[in-house]
Amino acid sequence: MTPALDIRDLAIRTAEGRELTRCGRLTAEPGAVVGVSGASGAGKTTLLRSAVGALPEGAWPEGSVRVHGDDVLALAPARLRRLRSSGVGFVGQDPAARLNPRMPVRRLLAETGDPAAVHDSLAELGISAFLHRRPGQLSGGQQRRVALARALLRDAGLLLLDEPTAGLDKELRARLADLLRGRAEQRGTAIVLACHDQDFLAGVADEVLHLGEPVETAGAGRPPARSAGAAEPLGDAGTSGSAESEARRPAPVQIATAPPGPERADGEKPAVEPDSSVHIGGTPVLEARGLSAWADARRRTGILHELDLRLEAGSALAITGPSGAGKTTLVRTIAGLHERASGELRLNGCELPVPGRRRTDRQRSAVQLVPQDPLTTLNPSRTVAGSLRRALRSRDRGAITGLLESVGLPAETAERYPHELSGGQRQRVAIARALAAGPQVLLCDEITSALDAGTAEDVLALLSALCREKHLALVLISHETPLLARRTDRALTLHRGRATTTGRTHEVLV
Amino acid sequence: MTRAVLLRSAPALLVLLAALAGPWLAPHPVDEPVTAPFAEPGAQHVLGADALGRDVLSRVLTGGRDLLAAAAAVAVVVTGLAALLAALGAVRPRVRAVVEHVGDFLILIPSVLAILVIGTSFPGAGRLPVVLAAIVLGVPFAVRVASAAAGPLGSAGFVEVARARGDRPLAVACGEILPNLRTTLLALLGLRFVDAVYVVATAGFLQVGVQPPAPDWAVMIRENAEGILLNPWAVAAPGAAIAVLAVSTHVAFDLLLPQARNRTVSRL
Repeated sequence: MTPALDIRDLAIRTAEGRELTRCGRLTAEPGAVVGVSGASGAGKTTLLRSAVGALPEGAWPEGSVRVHGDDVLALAPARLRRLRSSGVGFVGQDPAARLNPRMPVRRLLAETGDPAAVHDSLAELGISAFLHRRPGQLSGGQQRRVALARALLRDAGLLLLDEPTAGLDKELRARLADLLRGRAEQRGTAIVLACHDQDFLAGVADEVLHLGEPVETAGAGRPPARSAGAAEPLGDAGTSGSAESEARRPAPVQIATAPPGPERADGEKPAVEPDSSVHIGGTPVLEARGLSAWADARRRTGILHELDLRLEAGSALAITGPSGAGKTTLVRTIAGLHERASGELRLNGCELPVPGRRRTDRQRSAVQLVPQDPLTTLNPSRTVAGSLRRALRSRDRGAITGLLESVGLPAETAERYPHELSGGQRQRVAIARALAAGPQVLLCDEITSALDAGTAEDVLALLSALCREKHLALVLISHETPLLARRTDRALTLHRGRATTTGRTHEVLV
Repeated sequence: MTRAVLLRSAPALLVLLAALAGPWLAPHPVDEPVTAPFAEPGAQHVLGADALGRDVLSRVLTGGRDLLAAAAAVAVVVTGLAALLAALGAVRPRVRAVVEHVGDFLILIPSVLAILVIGTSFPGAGRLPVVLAAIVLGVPFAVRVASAAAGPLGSAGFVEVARARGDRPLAVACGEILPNLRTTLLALLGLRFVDAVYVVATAGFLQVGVQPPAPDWAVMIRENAEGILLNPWAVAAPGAAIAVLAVSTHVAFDLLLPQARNRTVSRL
């Protein structure tokens, strides 16, 4: 039987000869599920994209990539187009960008197949509830599910998924795993997925291919699933997708400069002993009572309903919940960005107006947000120093270097543009920018969702160290419950805009 | 910049240079008859003479500067205003709504008619009314394009952060959004320049704003149209000059685009 995907001795290099990805052998027979794992920058995305014949600009491939027997790297444009339209389903990392913003979900799905025919799989992904909405009205996780459903409806022989679990909660991940396994077993679809969630891969994949040097996954609990052992280790694990060889070079620094002191010693423990955290906060830094938010100005569609919240200095709160539960809206409301909201906010006991424009500069500085979308978190046209200068409102070079140092980045980073940095470095810069204002409350919205386990662990370690040193009240939104469980003291679970459970992390998130 | 780029933008540079330095290169005075009306090209007068026996080459060399300056002013002001309004609109949805509604209304006004009305209302004011009318009528089109590019940036993380730290809308628009519109604005500037050349030339042809005997490419076309069979160059030369100016500048702007490509973060 012809394998659906057969990659042999593939190496993709840039025009300057830098290696973007290398893969000795990857074979996906019909009905097989193959996982691809590796640190950020190991070349997972480049590898998947090569299977649809989409190479980075100016890149040179070596070796062969066969899809249903055709060598896609040598295929004529017309045949490549036909292959892409009927033989392969591809879901990229940023599905929001691929969904036509003007089409409601129902039409987006009808474009690729008949939704009625596969209603079960839609229900499985929980899409039926928002068929009439447009992509702009969906949360990040919902958009990803729509993109996945579109690919599934195509019923192609080969399905390529790049980080399909980002933004999905535990339950949806489990359902997705079932769905993918079912697909593979019943219809003989070959599925190749790049993912850094080792547990998910272990549950769904027949074999896992490890790209680059194996990463120490401090948090993943289980070792990577049975390794296919076909990928050759990269000489230099720090090669990344586009023009960022230099940017990735200081990768070791990230780990080396991760917060000093007790943090290194008890990396596995919460930032603050859970018992003390519940009692020490005599006066909370920030308190919310009866916080409600709506999606529209007429207050018809509610997103948050009468929510209460307490944030204490030096302690971390985890916010979890299924996608679309209102997590992002909650932190945006606290940051003063969501103005269709009502309720009472108190900062250090004094009233904090809900609309941001009515807040004083000092109140704004006190509450800082690290936003969700990792691609737009930094202004692409400004250097790191430029972004930090605007946040600091001063041109002091020393202050910029100091900020970079506090997030574990070398001073040279200042002159780089965001596209020259790795995902982890970008999130560190975003944290540094938030710290520039001297905040009391730091709100982090899914900042680890695009990072591999090792980098995510480092970023969270940095945050909990900062939380303790600077006595910050930290809010972490994430779906990665094991990571949260180790880094936070209290947890809040949201469901459809209501708090379902609150309490100490180790009691709530187990 | 590579040699190919220089080579392909050479026509634009030549036309610009000729238009700017033309008045000093002109071999004959532009406002006195030097030979017979509609005299054919000869050794003395390379492009022959116009309706009043004035040297066509001298008038072509002199007649571009003001047209070019007016068109450039219109293009720069239109693009600048549009960029600012679009960037502000991305930060403030209400500004965007107002700008788009007013723009939709202005787009409905036929531009040639408006320029005729404004130009003839202020006779003797020279080109200024035409330039102002072209700006007012050009901005709505440019805003549409710039808004489409700026809109998605309004909800980008870095804009949210800037708003949350209390930057004024104008500061967010200029500091965070405008730098990301570089490519769009450069392309827009090229298109608006071509459009402005045509609008200003049309006004000149209709003798709104500039009046004969001023040497002006558009005015020349009209003045000499009756003698096109006697000396076709009196019409063809200024006509070709307008076309070459518009097209070659557009090509040059297109060549500049890749150099100003936006830095986008496209992968994680």
